[in-house]
Amino acid sequence: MAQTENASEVEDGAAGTQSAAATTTTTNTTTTATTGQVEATSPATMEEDPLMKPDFERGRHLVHFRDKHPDFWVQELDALLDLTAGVKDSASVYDKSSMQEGLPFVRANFPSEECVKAICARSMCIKAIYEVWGAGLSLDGAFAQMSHCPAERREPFAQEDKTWCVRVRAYGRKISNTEEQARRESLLAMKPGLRGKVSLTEPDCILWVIDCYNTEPLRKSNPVNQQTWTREDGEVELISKREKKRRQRLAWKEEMRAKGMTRRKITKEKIARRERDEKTGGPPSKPQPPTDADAQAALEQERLDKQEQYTKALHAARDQHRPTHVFIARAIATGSRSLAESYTLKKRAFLGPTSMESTMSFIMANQAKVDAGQLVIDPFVGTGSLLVPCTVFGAVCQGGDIDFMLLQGRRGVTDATVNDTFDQYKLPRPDLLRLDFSPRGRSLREPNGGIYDAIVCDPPYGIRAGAKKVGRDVSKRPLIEDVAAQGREDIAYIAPVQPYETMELMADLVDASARLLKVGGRLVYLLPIDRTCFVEEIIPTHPCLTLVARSVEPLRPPLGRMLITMEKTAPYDYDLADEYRAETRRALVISETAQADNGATVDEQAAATAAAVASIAKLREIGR
Amino acid sequence: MKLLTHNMLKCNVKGVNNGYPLKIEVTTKEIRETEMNPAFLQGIVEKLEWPVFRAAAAQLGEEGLPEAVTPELLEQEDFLKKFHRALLEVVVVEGALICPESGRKFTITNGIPNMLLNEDEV
Repeated sequence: MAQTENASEVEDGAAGTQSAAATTTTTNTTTTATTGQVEATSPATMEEDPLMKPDFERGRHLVHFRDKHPDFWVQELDALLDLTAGVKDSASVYDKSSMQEGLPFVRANFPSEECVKAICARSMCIKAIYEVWGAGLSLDGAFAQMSHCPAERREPFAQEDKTWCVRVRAYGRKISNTEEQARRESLLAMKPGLRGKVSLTEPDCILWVIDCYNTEPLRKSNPVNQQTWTREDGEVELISKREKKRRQRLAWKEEMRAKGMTRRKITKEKIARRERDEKTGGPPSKPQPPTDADAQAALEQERLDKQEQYTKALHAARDQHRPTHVFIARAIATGSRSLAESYTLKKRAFLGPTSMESTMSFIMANQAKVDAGQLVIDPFVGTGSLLVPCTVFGAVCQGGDIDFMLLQGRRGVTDATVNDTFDQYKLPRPDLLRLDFSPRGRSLREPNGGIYDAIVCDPPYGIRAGAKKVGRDVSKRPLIEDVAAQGREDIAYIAPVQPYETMELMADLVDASARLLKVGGRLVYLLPIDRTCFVEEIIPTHPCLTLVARSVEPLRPPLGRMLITMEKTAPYDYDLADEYRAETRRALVISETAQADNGATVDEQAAATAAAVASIAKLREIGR
Repeated sequence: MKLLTHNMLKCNVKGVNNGYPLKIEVTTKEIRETEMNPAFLQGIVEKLEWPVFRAAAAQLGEEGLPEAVTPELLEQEDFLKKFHRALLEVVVVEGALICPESGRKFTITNGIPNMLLNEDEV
């Protein structure tokens, strides 16, 4: 189908059935603008657009991702494909490279509908998966393609005893009820050929009309979001509202720092002011808005002007950016975000400063391919957040931690313990043990071929909770001999712990996982990174483990956290233990030699090493 | 501490060559019922040190486990129930684990064994 034809369909589809009064302005202006616009922005022909190719066999399904966690979309889908259908190579199902900037959609061809349902039943990143009946630049185009859709796809739902309904969804902008209604009616007027009765509550087939808009231009053209900012050199630039707020906050911070104010001083001052206000009878009243009629009328006029301006801009944007893709598709299953929400931290019995929020925990369990009947351990269990989804998915869990206060509950602060969280959700409790996961505390037997199906953890890197291992911080702890003199049985003796350096911790974690995992088992862990200077070299490698995925969740700039998924692909050979150890500590050694050289590295691989060193140094800084 | 975990723990004090199996000293125990998962039991059985598990179960009052496990047994509901109960439902709440070689005592409080070593033991 050629481009020009599609373009004309756009106008027909939109203008044809929309209720007249609401959209007259829109349709009037369209006729002149559209044709050129569509030609400029979309691929040359429809066949070239991977989202709309009429190739029904290769692109039977349409996956719609949630907006959050874009870096995890593909990774999670791959893990779930492997878990539910045993598909190791996801390229046979969908083409990653076909994903378009700004659109959370991909066409795929799953092996079966059961597989689609199983994936959706666990996915945090998928909003829904549909079976595509037709796609096009407009509803008319999509409908035209629908007539070529294989009969076996539509017939089962076209029977007279099957109930159905039509629903409308837009991606990229909100559509009003009127527009939604108009969309629905246009499809009904085309007669989709379903012979059964309509049921809005429990239909056998939900036929969706999905309009996708390119979101970026719309957001930028919204004048309400545009603010001016005067730079130090006197230039005025246009920035977003959010950016302005951020800069104002930074400027205020600078100002406070210049005055020598610390956060504590500011808080103190605030409290003092509040107390003073209470004594003198309430805070000083805010300046009253101008009461005189002219000023009010001016304000009102200003508001109306802004509103008009906004509406105009919105209409203009809408006119230029018609939906770039329209799908007619049957919904097969929706994603499981609600599952994570039912385990939200907000209602959790036992929490700590680093409790992992439930969505990310579920993503991690998916990445680890945790399934019923597996054995899973979290060696840094903390408040048990990561074991919740693993238990939900039916795995038997163990949790280790070096902090006894956490495992036992913090007496005096709260009586809650990790077990309370699991009792709250009526889940089987994990088996807890106080454990040092560094090589010095190897208390777990390592049966031949490994024992765990998955190791899932969020190691404490020191951003909000410091990592510890057994050892003595000479400055703080009494010598063992002093305690031993009072008798070893004495329970008052506390095994001392010392800080655990991030790079070393990761190297040990990876090596321990290689020993303890079964072949095919997965290690999933989080690593805080500086997004501006991250290099891959700092991820420890291991000959027995293969890096499967790494995805970054951006946090407060420039920080981010990277989720690393490794799969054990070769059995651990104890004769090579020293070589393995050397390999996992390669990055550590790079940084140590660099420190010894005082930064002057050897000129071969100098660039790579320097980058690694910078990255590691940053990591250390984060950890501090 | 469940017997599954006991089966996996060993003593790692410096100089100890054979810190397995750890002897159990029970002060209090309890039974926490959980749902049985036959697939888990069938998968874990080859990873367990069966004689160690059997002895530990007997000590905790879970008699009647056979000396060896055969594939036929793993299909029997009766056996699986017993196996599940001993492996995952019996919990040692207070007590200790004792190293067979050095006699080092690891205490169990609130169901959590403390496997941390003292600084002169690592």
